[in-house]
Amino acid sequence: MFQQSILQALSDIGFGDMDWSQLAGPSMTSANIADQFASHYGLAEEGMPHDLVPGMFQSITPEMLQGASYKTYSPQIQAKGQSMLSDLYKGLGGQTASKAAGGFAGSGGFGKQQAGIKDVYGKSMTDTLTGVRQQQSQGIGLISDLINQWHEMAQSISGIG
Amino acid sequence: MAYSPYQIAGTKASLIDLLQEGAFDRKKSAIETRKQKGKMREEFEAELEAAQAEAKRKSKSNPLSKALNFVSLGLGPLGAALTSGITAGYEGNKQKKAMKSLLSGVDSKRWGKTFLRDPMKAYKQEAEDMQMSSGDVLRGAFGSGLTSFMTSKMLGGDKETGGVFNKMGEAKNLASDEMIKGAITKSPEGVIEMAKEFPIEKLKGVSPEALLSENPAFKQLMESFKKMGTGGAGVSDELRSTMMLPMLLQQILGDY
Repeated sequence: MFQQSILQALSDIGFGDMDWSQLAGPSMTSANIADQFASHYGLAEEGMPHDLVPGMFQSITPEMLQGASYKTYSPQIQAKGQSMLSDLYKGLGGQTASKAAGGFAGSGGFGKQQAGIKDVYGKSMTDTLTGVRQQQSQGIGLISDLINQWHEMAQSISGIG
Repeated sequence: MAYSPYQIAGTKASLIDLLQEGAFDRKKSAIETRKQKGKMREEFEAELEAAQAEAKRKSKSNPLSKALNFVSLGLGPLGAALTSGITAGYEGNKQKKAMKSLLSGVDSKRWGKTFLRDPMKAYKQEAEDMQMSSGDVLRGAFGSGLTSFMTSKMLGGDKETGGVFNKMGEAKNLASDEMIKGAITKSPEGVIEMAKEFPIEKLKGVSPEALLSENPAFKQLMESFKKMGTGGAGVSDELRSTMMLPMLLQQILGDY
């Protein structure tokens, strides 16, 4: 959702329609960004050099895109899930579970114990997923901050900032 | 596929690195922008200074014009008016071009789009106020011509006998002849006394003091002013006309 907003904002500036992976592509060099922003802020004149220099615009790197991708963090979920799965299995069945419930499978105590384990597993997975989402969000935030900074730099030169 | 704790920790570490890198990049951009703004400000100031220097160079008065204006006093009122009018027109045209270079030498379109918009506006406003129209040049030339006409007349020039220098030359010759005659019978002191008593009508308005002076033109000018102060006959009319001149021009031309 947030990624879509970023792509839309760039399209409004004049970068055209592109997908997320193109943000670190050859059309997004510092020089191109400077040209596009000069045009957007009315600093460019046909065939004339403008006052926005490429050094003012740090381009988006493939690492940044990676940092903003869910795929980068999904191994954390998988790893956490695997380690918890065995605990869950042990907790929900097998001898350990029976012993823990007082040796009476199907009794009220066993049911309570199973519910408790589900809660623990659920909470732990929720925390993991939240953590992963937060990391991805920070990655996307890095890109949106960079784009905001492009605006700030262009506005600073055009004197409207 | 199983992920090792190292891989998981690596992902988190990479994100932290990225965040640090992002902060560093932002600072780098800000530094670059400040540098660029400084460069632009310097360029802008250099452009203004160059335009002003060019205007100053172009507007420098030609010494020939000054000399012509002075010489014109010897051409009689009409000649003085014409010469002064032409030189004033020429100088005015030069000024007009010089003032134009105040604007043409600065890329107002470029600076007007940037953070230098306000200083650009202020400069442009000032330069525009200094611009002269062709009417201004014409009025200047006309005014100068008229003033020279009046000055020449005040100094004793008229259309029959020409300018004041011409008359001064004639008067000097005449005075010399008389003085040479007198010198045969009188001492050098007597010659000076005689020059002082020389009938003023023979000198065609040129002061005998001026003739004896080392700087006759200046002396004559001073004598003329003195006469004005005492309200000498004929001079007060000229003076009145001269004083009326600006009012007259204002009525004819509006904003002279």
